[in-house]
Formats: sequence, C-alpha cells, structure tokens
Amino acid sequence: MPARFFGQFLLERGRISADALLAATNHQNQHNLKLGELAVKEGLITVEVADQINREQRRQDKPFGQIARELGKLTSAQIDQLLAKQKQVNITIEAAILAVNALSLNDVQAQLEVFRIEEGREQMLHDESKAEIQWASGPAFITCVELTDRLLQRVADVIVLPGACRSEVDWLSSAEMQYSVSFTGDWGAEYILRLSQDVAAKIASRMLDEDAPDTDLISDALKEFVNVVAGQICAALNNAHGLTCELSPPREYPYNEPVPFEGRKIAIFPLNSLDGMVEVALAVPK
Amino acid sequence: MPKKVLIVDDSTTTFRQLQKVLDTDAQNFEVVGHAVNGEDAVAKFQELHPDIITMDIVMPGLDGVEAVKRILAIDKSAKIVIVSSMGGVREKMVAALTAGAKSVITKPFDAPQVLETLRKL
Repeated sequence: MPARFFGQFLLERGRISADALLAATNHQNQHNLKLGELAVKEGLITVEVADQINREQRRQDKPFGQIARELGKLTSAQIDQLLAKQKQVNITIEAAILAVNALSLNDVQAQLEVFRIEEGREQMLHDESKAEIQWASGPAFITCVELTDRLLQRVADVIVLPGACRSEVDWLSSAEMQYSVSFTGDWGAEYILRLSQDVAAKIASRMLDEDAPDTDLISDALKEFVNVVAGQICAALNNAHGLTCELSPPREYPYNEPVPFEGRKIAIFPLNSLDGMVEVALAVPK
Repeated sequence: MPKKVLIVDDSTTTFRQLQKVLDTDAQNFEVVGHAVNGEDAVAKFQELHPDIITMDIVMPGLDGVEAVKRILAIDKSAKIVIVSSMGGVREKMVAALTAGAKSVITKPFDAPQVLETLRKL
C-alpha cells in the first residue's frame, strides 16, 4: 500500500469526489497553523526568528521545534505547550471533510477504521531500521530505508534485512548498478539504490512481467523503481513530518564505477538479501 | 466502442504496465499512444484525440500538472487521471485536482484500481 493521507485513501476508493476533497483541504489550509506560525501568534518568537528557523529546517532533517530548541529560540516546555495547543486548534482532514459536508459522520468513521487497519498492518510488518551513525538517524533516513525495504518486497518479491549503516565522504564506492533521485526543498539529499546485476534483473523482470528484459529495459525499470520509492518517501515525509520535497528525474550512474560526491557525506544502509547485493545510499551536504 | 487512452509517462516500464492492465479490458479501453513528457502529451492529445489521458507528474521538461492545464485549455472536457509516484503527496494531489485532473492514482498501482478509476470517467 502506498504512503498517502486519509483524503487520498477516500479518493482512490471513490468515497469522495475530487471537488469535495479539494474543498476539505482548502478548509483545512485556511484553518490550521504550523508550529512556527503558532509560536509567532502566541508571541513566543518574531516572524524573523520563525523565518530563520524555517531556513535552517531546509538544510537539516529535523522538525521545527527541535531546531528552535537547538538555536535557543524556544524552550522544551514552550515547544510542548505549542504542540499541545496545535493539537487542540488544528483540524484533521476528517474534521474538514465533515465541515464541508462531503461525507456523513458514520461514513467517515467507517472509512477511517479501514484506513487505520491498513496503515497499522503496514507498520507492524516493518520494524524501524537503526542507524548507528548519529547524523544518519533522522526520520528521513529511516523512512528511506523502510520504504525501500517495503517496495522491494511488494514490487519485486525481494526480501531484505537491513544491516548496520556505514559512511563515506566525497566519493561513493563502486557498485554494479547505481540509480539515483535527488530531493530538493525541505530535505536536500540524493537517494541512490545500489545493487548487483542479478537483483536489478529480478526487479525489472517482476515490474515488466517479462522473463529476460534487455539492458535498456532493466535500466528503465530500475529508474522507475527509484522514482516510485522516492515518491513514497516524499509522501511519507510530508504526511508524517511536514517536509515538502521536489524530485529530480531518476538517473543511472556508470556501471561498477565509484561516483564523486564532492562536499557531501554519504550514509550507506546495506539491505541484506539472498538475491544479491542491495544497498541504499543517502548523500547529504557535509 | 472502446475508449481511446493516451498514456503520458517518461518511463517505458510504466507505459508497458498500464498497457497490460488496459489490454485486460479491451472492450472498454484501447491504448492509442504514449507521450514521454508534458510537451509531447499536448502534441499527442491534439493529434490522437484520446478519450482518457493518464498523466505522470515528474517528467523531464514540462511536468504533468502543467500539461493538465495546457490540455484543458485546449479542450476543457478532456478527462485526465494522474498516475504518479508523487500522487500520495498532499500538495501535489491538490495541485493536480485544482488544475482539473479527475482523479489521482499513486504508483505502485494495482490493476483493479486503475480499471475502476478509468471506468468511472
């Protein structure tokens, strides 16, 4: 099941029209406040300080509150109060759907129950991967590994077991096949899927439903695979952490060659598999 | 008579996947073309006059949301469904629906979901 929010779940199931969902999201946007906006409204920080924290947030994989605390702009107690207040005043998409009369209360409750069961099942299937390198232990890194794991299994029947993370600087060591997508916006990182030819061929074969796709098709399928994973990462980061990212079109690095990543550090997460070598590498500024 | 479908996606893999899904319901759908970016989509829309368009969002050149706007500016009755890995991102979904797309399907998609969505158009 792809990462998504409840509104899209309803749309995909034909329970709500596109117009009604748009009305609900507009209603929610008009009503809800981000943590920084709320902090300004409560007089705890100025607009300029909120902008400074937002700028810093674009450079780091951290929530607004954490950065505000690290910069000494808000205390832990103030952040806790703001989060509690935000929970009180902000409305959910369910409430917005009810507010614009898009669905009845009974319908929303019934659909929400199905949605939560599906989401919960996905969560139960996958334990969090633990990064041993502190800078690579943020939610974005964990999300990347989890979603790659999940989609490898769903799309290609490739079962993996995440191993211990290692890091490289300025250069990424060679791997037979390497496909990447870059994130811009609130998280500036490059996602690279590194794998052996055997695994690449298996993924392509499953995606295309063909026994022996040629080299060009394997390349196309793997680019599409990383594109799908990256899209899911964007959705998950947006829904769970409020980060907004754009994606570059996917690219392929030369066969079995190291790749220069000047000025960047790279976290590499091995995904141990019986099918061959699979790793997720995430390159971020040093 | 089957509805003519134009598939817009820079990935050959997705094109083949969607074509296979739609071929299972040949009574209702016939894939008439493949466009690989937004500009290509607009050109093929004018050339092929499809009944339905499936549209990716992230493509080289003109992206899917802009292509939706341009196609609807040519023919406001065009029926466009977004099929994208970014479909689960709230802002992207809202942008696509605001531009005039009829629905949004997130990759990786399931065949029944694609057929059900397109049959309702």
